[in-house]
Amino acid sequence: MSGFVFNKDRMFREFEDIYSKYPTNVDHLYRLLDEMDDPAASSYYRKSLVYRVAAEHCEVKLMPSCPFYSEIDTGRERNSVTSSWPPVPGIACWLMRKNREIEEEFHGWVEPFHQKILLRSSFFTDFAHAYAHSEILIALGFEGIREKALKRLEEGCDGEEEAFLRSVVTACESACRIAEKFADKAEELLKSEQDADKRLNLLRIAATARRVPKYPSVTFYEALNTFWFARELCNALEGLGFAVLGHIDKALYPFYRKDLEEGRITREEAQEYIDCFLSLTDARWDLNQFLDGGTNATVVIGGCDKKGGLIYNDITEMVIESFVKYRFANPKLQVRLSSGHPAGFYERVARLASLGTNVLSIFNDEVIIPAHVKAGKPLEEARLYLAGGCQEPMLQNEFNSRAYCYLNLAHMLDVSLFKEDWQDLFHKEEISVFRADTAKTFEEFYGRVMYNFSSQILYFCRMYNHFCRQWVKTNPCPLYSSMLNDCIERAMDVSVGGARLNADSFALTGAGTLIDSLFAIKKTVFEEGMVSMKELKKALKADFQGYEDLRQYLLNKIPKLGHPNDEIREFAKGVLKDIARHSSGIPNTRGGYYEASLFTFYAFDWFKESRATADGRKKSMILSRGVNPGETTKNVDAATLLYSQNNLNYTDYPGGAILYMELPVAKTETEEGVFRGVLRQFIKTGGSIMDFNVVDKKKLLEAQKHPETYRNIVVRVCGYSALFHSLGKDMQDEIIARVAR
Amino acid sequence: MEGFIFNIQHFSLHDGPGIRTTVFLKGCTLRCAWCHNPESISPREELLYFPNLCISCGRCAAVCPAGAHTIDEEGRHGFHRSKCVLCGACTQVCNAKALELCGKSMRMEEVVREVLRDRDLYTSTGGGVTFSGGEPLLQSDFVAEAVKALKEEGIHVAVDTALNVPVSAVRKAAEHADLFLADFKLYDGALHQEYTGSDNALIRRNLELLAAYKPIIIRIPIVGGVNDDPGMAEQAAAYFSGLGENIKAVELLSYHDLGRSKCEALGIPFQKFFPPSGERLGELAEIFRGYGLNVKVS
Repeated sequence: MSGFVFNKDRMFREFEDIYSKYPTNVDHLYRLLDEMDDPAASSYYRKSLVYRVAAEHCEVKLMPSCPFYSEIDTGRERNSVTSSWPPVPGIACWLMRKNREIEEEFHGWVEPFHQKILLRSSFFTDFAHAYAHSEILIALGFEGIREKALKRLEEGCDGEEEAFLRSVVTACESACRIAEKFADKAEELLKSEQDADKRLNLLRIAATARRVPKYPSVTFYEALNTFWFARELCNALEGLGFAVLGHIDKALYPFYRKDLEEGRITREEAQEYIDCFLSLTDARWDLNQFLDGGTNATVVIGGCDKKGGLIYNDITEMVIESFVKYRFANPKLQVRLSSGHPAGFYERVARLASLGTNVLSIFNDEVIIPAHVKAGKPLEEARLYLAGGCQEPMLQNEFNSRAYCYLNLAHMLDVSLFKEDWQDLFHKEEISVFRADTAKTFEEFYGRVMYNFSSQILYFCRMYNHFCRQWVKTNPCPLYSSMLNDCIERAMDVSVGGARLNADSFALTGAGTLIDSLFAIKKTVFEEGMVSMKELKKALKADFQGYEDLRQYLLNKIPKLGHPNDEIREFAKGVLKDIARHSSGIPNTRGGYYEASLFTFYAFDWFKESRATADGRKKSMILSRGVNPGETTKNVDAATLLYSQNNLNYTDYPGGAILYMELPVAKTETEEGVFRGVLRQFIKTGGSIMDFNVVDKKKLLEAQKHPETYRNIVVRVCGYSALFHSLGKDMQDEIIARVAR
Repeated sequence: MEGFIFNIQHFSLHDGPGIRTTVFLKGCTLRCAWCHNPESISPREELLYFPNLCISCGRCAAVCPAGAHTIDEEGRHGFHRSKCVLCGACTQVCNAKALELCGKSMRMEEVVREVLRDRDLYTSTGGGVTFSGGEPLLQSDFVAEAVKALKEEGIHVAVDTALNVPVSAVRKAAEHADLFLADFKLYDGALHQEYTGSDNALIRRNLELLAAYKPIIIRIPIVGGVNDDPGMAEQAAAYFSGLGENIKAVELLSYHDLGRSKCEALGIPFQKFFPPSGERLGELAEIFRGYGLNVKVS
């Protein structure tokens, strides 16, 4: 028996003591790295210097009330969501700091597009949503991975491949050395530690850290620690953000079973470990600060294994139980559901949702798996999907970029209507677009809009490919690659396509606004003739000043996405199919393809200064969120919202399509049934991903007035959750306004 | 068969168990002073006018055959309800939705088709369809037919009624309905007369007859200073508990003033009442519980 008892308050205090001092000064390490550096050497070699310096010179931290070990102080910040661009403090970004010219080139290129609000992109690849494949580390240990790399070296390779593999070997050796340091540290602390519970943790660490994760994990505790260790080590050393904790009920259950059978653990003790494990994110981050994007941490439960066997076990239940008990704000809980999952799973998830903890996202296996298969990936791989940060789906054996470039669908349409306002930029960049405002029929108009959409997508793909080719130079990731299937076999870093699967997607923002605007143009200009294209353009240009009557017509007399109207339903289906087709199948630089995504994060708000749109939206009003109806559409109840998606085919979108579901907090048990019904209906109507925002409007208004007395209300900002009081007034208002609709 | 309907509300969570769709029928026999659905009272079409939405575009004045809409020298719109002939022409041209006709005839099949859209939600949550109003049993033939059609589809059906209708009307609807939500305003007959325009003798008779063979949830709007008196609650509680096993629950619904904007839109005076205090509501709930009744407060 392990005897571990989780003491949350004490552990949080210990974390606070350590992390409130972050970031620590590591200037001496930068100097050391500079001395060791050989600018002429390969970037793999240079990156491995970081691993060596960390292993030899960085201090490891232990919190004695926590049985897990992982924290190595590489100078990173406490609230480090992504660990990189622009390079954040810490030695992990040392090599990036040596390569600022690529950053300058990228930002120089992207700036005019930011100014025209056509896109928003912070970098050319996703640096925040990676998954260090802990299950590989659990199975092989760093020693096993190292041996694999050495064997691959013996098989023969070119200079580039050799440099990569050698840096993998260094990464593994450094990781083992770092783990040993935790054992040393535990032994040192044991000399003076008197508290019995803390001693137990330190003894456990002292006895484990020399073996795990150097060698494969054997026990439940070891496997759980490896999950956290892999992620945090990568966050500390790679200069890339690792949002995803992994599919823990699938991976941990065999270890738990074995421990149970061999009398090493009880269910209660396993629950204590899970409670502690899930607390680590809230403990580490300072949640009272506003975090743009939240802590990004996610845990996946449910779903299936690679053979399609459904996952629902004791660990699944423990995870949910833990969220119910402790009301964590993080990590986000990503629940993979299918109609085949047992009623008990639905019930527990419904209960958690109904409490208004707002950390849940629901993923529909019946849509997301086929979406990846349709994108050309093997079924067994597609079944092993995870999701990062907010709701960005990724496969276990895949590196993908999802949340790095947001495209503004409202302005991508604006290009077709107002070519004159875009041509300077487009001409310079050689993006070929046609005027659509001169079209004689709607078919002609629509054809040109789609041509222009495709043209813009192809251009962006070309540019992102250009930049992404330089990833390997600025920040290769051999440590991360060591845990990704196929990187060693191919002797290729993740940055050049070593991962088994590689997909990217642009996040298409404002689908509802686009659909409604196109439909309004179809109806008013081409069918009813109630306004000419020329007049409509004038109205949009004037932000409807002097055209209020037209605006009211567009708002109220034209069917909109979300209305139970057959014509708009069919129209929406066609538009979504077309934009998926035009944004899929273009090759990226890593041997994979761009694929379609309706993931939007907070971009619906970033893009609100877009020109007025033909759905009656004025400038400064936000675009539609996820795949929800636009803000100009009023009074769409949850049943109608679910109905409106049931003819849409989200299997065209491997990057996901997010439905935001606002519901009142359940006050009675019978109301939990409502949540169960919504979950079932969401799966049945072919939804892709659903985020709950379950709030009590009165309480939010109170909390806005008296933040000091409401410190624990967790709300869904978009893909991530945050403490309500930590948000700015604008964002608080926006969240309250959603409830009012 | 057609019904006269003013709203169909999907994802309704408070008119019976589970997720439901509520069909609101227009026309009522009571005139409750605190009515929160004043547009449900008249059994005829009515024009709703929302001045806050009006953009004074003048289209209504141009099409109105009766001169009910005017635009003054300053370009402001005026509405003269007494002249309105309810032709609906203005609602067709009003882009701002400031003018709307309330109430429309719908065929029974049409209503059934619309509510069956959410069948899966009913099944998974033990929900169904509720006929409400107004007083749905003023159209008891329509309700009875619709209930029957829905029962044939296996849908749970509730009828939300104030029971101030002929016994035969209740019996007709009760033949196939699963559950009654019986609105009961005041136990005291004289006060009932004062606040609703009708005494409660017929209501009580219907309730007693119905309780003999149908499950019932009693719903009481609690209005401050009107029916939040503990003494009256005591009498009502004793009465309900004497009606037997079919009284499944008593719901105490705190008064709210959401009827205000609708009164304005209808051009009728709004009488302001107050919700009871939270403590008083709790006290009343305890009284009903004391009589062995299952009480819900919302």
